[in-house]
Amino acid sequence: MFLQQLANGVMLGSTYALVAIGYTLIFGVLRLLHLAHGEVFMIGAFAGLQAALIWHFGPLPALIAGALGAAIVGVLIEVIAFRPIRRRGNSHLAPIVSTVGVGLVLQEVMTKLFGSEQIAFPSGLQKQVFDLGFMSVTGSQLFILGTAAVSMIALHQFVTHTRYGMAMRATSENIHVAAILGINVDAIILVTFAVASALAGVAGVLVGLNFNAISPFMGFDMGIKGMAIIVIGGLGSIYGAMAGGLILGIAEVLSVAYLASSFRDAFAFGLMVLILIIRPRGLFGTGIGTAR
Amino acid sequence: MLGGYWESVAVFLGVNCLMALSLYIPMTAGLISLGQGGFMAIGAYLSAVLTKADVPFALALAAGGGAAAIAGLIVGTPALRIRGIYVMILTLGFGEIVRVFFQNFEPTGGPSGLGGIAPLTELWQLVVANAIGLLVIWRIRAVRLGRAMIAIHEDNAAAEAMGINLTRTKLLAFSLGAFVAGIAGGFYAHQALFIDPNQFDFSRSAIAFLYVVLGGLANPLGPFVGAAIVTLLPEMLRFVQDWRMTVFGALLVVLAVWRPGGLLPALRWRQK
Amino acid sequence: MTPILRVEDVSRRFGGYQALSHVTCEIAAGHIHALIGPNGAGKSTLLNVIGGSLRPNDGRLFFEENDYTGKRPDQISTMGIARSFQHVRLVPGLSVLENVMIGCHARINRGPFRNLLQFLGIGHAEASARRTAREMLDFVGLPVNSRSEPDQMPLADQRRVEIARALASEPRLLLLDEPAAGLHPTDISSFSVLIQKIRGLRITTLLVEHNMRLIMSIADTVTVLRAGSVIANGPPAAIRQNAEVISAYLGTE
Repeated sequence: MFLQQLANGVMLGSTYALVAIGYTLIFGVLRLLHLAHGEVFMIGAFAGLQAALIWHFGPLPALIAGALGAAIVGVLIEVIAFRPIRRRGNSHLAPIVSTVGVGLVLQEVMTKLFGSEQIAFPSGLQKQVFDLGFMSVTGSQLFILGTAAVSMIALHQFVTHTRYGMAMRATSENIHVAAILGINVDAIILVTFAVASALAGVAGVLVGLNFNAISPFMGFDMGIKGMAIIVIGGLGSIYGAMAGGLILGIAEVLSVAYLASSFRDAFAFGLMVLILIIRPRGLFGTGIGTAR
Repeated sequence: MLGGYWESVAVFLGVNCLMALSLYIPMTAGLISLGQGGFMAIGAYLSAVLTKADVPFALALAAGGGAAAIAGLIVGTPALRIRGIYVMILTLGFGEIVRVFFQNFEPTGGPSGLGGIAPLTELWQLVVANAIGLLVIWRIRAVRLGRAMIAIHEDNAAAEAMGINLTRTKLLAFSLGAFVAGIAGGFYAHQALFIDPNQFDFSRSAIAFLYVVLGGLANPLGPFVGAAIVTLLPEMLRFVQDWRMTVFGALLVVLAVWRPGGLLPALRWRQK
Repeated sequence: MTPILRVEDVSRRFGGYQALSHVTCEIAAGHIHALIGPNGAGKSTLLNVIGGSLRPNDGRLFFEENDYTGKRPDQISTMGIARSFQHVRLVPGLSVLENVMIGCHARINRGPFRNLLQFLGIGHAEASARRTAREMLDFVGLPVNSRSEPDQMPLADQRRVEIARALASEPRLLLLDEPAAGLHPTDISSFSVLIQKIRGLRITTLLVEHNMRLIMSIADTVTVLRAGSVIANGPPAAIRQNAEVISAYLGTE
């Protein structure tokens, strides 16, 4: 029973991790919080939904559609809401306003198109159950876990072994030096947004598959939890985002199973406050945010 | 006087102006709070509970503000050792924790909220409160605390070397802002007559942030102008009907790009 | 005569890098005491340790024979030590006069109630702070042009404002971090006059500087640092002829 819950937690946690990675990547290169990232996650879910419904795609193509849709929207957001502000000299308050605006627009538009109620997400996956002896998993759960794992490994490879990935890391380290070294910072930022958004889109489709329902408002909660997760894991740290997401997922599931279920949403922030008091730089953070 | 509907709009505008003020104060010291909704909730709930127990309105308001101020001290303390972005996320977390708390707190109705609150709020009260608020931020540089806050905003280390106690100043800025938000919550509760935890969620805090940034930090009229625009704009966008919020969101993006420093120009001060 | 400041065996590390090691020195009251050394010698680090923005890993600091090791910068400012910064750090959001008034900050604290009354215009703490600020601006040679915004002023004037601000806190020890850096020679000589004027007020000055001519002309005592250690300490004439000091600057073969 406990292992079962643990497995559920890991699954939930991996979707959290995928979204949190996006936040941390963007924070890494821009030092900004992308407050509309939750809505990008939501768009991914809907893109996957369209693929599944209209074109009768299976789950894997739906994932790709979700990732693609989210990536496109993510890149558009960078161009419309972040870039012009960067051009005019780096206010760090204005991007918050513009991302709130973008998030609002996305939420409203999707509500117009799909209504504000929850919409069923076709499962498309085998309902077969695999009995592992000490616990059982469904085909869909394996699919979700597998996808999340593959995505995170792919990201790791991308960041550590490709030119773009290394340019991203250099830009995160120091954007000015990166520019001087000849890195096309604007292009790298675009790539970062594309990757971050694609991961969020994948997470969106996975959530849809797992819970069989999505709504235009699903981005809101994910949005704010994502920020708590990156603080827990350490701002800018990809592994921190993964760890933080998993920890939160497990904590939430276990809290529902063994404690009062209504405090679930506060767990993210409770953990976050704890981290800020005990170890402000986060689990894997590098100490860029702490005082003397 | 104003017709009933417009009087109600004016009251809510007054509440929103107070919320803008509540954020403006810590932001002057460089502390960005995305959790003013949480302080507002504390003020709203406490004052409502007190007036139901026949406590006079003014006292209930003050108690709500006071409780919020204490919460401000509590939240402000971990915020002392961390930098900008972390303060934002910390306060965001605080706001969520408050919301979840009230969601589960049965004595105040839990998720079903608290109703039957006495309609004690009147427009003149909000006008007075806002006038006091405006006076405070207008003259902020004439007070030692105000100058200290502005000095901290730019440069913590230099301010400290000049003799400013960072801890005390930041905590004061934070809890003063929280106090104002608590008072705003009290006014709000006794106008809306029904409150539930979801009315004080992150949207509320994010909107307060919009008020301040749109108006601009450099001008004391900023929070009021910002609150007025954000409150009244959806009203004025009635002609686009269902697309109001979408247009509003788009306008936010446009404003952020076009005027990142806020809509009002900086007021250059002259010291006589 | 007891020294106004005593640095006793102070060391400071940054990670693996030893910035200061076993630094001991004394500053006599009323002196202009210069701290010199080649780049990276640890001068600014030492100044920061004395001023409290950095804590020493080892050693103690004494001001007027009171051990103040580990105190915060704002507490140190209240004790009577004030400083200026190498890169001018005035507050852009305030006028010049208001910037100097911050120097009076610690002096006009009378508690929350008085502050409230002050805010409503009652009480004279504010007025007296303003008066002090004007006097200080006058003293440093920037009379009542206090209407300007600090970022509009030329560098030399900004430095003066910083010094005025430091003086407004009525210090007995003034720490100046490279006040002459980046200044035109005419400005440097007027700064030299100003620093001597400050000595005339019986305020001790600790001066970190690269400008040898300035040091040699006004310093009473010079301490030389190299790679985190004190290699010489004495009057300018003696330092000038010290072989170790010369080689520190010219490099050894």
